[in-house]
Amino acid sequence: MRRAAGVTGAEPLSPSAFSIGRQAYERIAKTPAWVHSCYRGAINVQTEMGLVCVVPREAGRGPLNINIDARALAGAGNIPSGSPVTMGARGLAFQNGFCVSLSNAEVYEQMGRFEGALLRPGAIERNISVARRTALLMGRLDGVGELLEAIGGGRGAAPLRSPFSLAALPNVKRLLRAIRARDLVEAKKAAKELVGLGIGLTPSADDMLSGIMVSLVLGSLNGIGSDMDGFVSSIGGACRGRTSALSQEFLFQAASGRANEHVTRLVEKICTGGTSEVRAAVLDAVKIGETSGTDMVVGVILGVKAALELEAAA
Amino acid sequence: MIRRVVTRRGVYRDSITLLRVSQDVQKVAGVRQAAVVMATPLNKRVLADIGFTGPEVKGATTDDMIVAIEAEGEASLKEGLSETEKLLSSSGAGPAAQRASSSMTDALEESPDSNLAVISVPGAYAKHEAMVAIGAGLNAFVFSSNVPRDDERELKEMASKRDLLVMGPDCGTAIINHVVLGFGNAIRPGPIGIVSASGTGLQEVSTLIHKNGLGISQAIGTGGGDLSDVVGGITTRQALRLLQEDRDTKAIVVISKPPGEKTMKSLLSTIRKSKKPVVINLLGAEDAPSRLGKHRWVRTLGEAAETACKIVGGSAKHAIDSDMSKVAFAEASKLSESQKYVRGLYAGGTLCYEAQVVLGPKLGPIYSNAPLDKRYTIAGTKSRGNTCIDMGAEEFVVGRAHPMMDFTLRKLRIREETKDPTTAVLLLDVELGLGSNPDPAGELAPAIAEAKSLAAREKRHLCVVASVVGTEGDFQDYSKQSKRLADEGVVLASSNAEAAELSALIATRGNTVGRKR
Amino acid sequence: MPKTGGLIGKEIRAINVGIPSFADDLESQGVKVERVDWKPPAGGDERMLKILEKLGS
Repeated sequence: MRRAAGVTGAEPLSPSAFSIGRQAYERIAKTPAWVHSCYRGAINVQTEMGLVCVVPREAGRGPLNINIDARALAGAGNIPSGSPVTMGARGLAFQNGFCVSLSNAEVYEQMGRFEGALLRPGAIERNISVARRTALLMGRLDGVGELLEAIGGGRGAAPLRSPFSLAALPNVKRLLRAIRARDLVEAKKAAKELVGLGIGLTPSADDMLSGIMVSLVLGSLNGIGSDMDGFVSSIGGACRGRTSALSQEFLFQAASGRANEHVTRLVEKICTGGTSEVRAAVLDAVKIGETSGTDMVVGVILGVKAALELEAAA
Repeated sequence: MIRRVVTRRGVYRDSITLLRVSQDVQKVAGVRQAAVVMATPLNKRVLADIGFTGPEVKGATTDDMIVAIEAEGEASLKEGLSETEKLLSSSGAGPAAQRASSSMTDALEESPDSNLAVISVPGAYAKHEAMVAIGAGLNAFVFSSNVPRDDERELKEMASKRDLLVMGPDCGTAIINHVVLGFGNAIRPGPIGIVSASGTGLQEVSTLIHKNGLGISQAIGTGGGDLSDVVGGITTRQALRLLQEDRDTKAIVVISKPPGEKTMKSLLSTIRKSKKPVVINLLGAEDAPSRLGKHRWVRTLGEAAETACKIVGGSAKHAIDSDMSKVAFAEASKLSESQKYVRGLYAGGTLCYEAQVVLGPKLGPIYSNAPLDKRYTIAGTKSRGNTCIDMGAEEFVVGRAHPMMDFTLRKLRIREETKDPTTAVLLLDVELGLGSNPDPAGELAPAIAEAKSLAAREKRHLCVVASVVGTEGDFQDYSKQSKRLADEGVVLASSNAEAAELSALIATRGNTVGRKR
Repeated sequence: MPKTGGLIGKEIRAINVGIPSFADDLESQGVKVERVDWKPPAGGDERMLKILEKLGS
């Protein structure tokens, strides 16, 4: 890789991606594309089949992610929205000469089945508790993170500060009740009152919803609660058109049980792992984005709990 | 409160991070809130509910980003908006953002002539960053806490071999060459040097020196662990040596809690050799050591400032004057029978400690979550008798900003204490300066007003005593802050020590000489 | 590269690692600051985990 560019205004770098998500791979291979948006932590590329995100290593692999070295991303420079992105022999080529080579990229395909044996409900609940405390300590709580205290656990939690959390709370409760009762109509209604709500590029409630949905689907695939994929998929459908394009992409992936590897690993570790593995997974997950990671962790905590309740009721 | 939004679509890279946008805009004085949200239907609804309306909101679509700003007045709003525009525009804010390095090593390559690393990463990682810095010949200001003492010693040994200073870990404040590092106040230059293991202690002493018309040469923070026996006072000794050699320094103030036994001996030995007079305040230490010669041993931060000023030829007020006594008795006369106790609710841990030093002899046992006398330890959540709570302690700070910035818990606690019929006086510290809330008085005043009327409804008089730690050079506007508090009937003392004395006077209706009640 | 003398009396040239607002405050006082956009190493740090354990999380 050539030496630091971007910074000095010289020609940009040509990094080699080391991972490309399965869904990203399918999208890029078939269609022309253009830059949807360009932020410090990501370059989002719009294809006819949907978005693809060029992100740094630390962001984690995921269905829509193309991971490159962080410094390379930092050196990509300003790439205007709407400018064309071409797929060629060299890889993904951007207007300013920045080029991501895919020849060494491994296709990241998320596994549905957990490694390791499912723990008993009591142990899973303990892990949920550990995840919650770790998120409270290490996460950024200005998204829906403050709901961690309000829902299940804290007595005398401080009043919610954000008007967005205040608006979310009753509908989160409604959604969880609906899931427990397998009431799809109610669940969709509650979801509609959550999608698009909250701060951040991906609204905090969306990230939380993604966490809930991924947990329900993966739980269901691995023996906690059952037949949730259809249910969740319908909830996902109800999200259409209510939030930004970027966030919607992640919601749809989550409705199919797919998410950033740090998030799915957290679900897996809560259900099959030891407390220190859970802690490590939370630490990785909360680093995603700004509040996104913590918000997804909130969703995972709520989702796995809901899955346990579904299993108990069965 | 005025509200306005700025919207952007497909923002370019130079927008830095959303955190930076909201943080930066919120730092503009008078801007209460700046939230960054996508213009989704639900967000627009919430925004409308909290008063953000107007064509920019209505016209924004789900892929637009909204920065919603709530400001106190037109001037702040204008500044907030221009700050937002600057941060969001593709040409603005560029240099700083583009130049951000991804590691200390990179940064050293970019700026090889650097001489100070300012480190505020989580404690587990701070040692590594500091070692890289020291290895490259930089001094270090380490704000991070939870760094093991052994690591601290290792760092400081490495640094002192190279004649470099490590301020910290757990160092919140320093003023070097009249530049504030971390938190701190605007203090005029002058002849007094400070060496402090405590951030708020440094703030209190430096602002008192300023209020007495004098100033400081350097205020070197050593971090809370420097005088432990494990670390042995490495930075403190270095700092003392630097101040000996500094031409501008005529007198030195040393502030800390009592050191470890071994370190106490070596500290006193170093001080005795000092050619310049040293004022020593080890808050909570038992007795004055002997043979101090020209050096002075003082009990409180207030006395430390006063004594240092006198040494360099200035004057200083200390004892409560007759006007303050009158105020105190007026307050006391309004108390009801049941009201007996002082309840200190502190953001600054050292000030909480100082209050206990002052209150103890006058009131008897003082309960605290960070007590002077371990026998009177309580959990921070419920007061008992005369109590001083350090609300900056771990148990309160998880998931929130420090109480100097975030007043939520203190305001709740004010109400709780007011409901208790035995509460006579609330004792508060209000910090101004860099790193503190942009409008502490504005945060506290409504809570105090509500508390006083709650008490009045129950035929009690809630007395509130406070000291404002700041100077007229601080951005929060010292006189505006003081006035706001005074308008709510807060009794303002000129120092924290005086505030504690006044509280004792009021609560005991003047019978403070260790009498049993 | 060894530095001669210390900080006292010299112009401060800082590198800020961690909370961005410290860098901002320094710049507002006219100090030159190099910013490091610090992110912890991925994979869950051993130390961090130990600390969290001690805190009883």
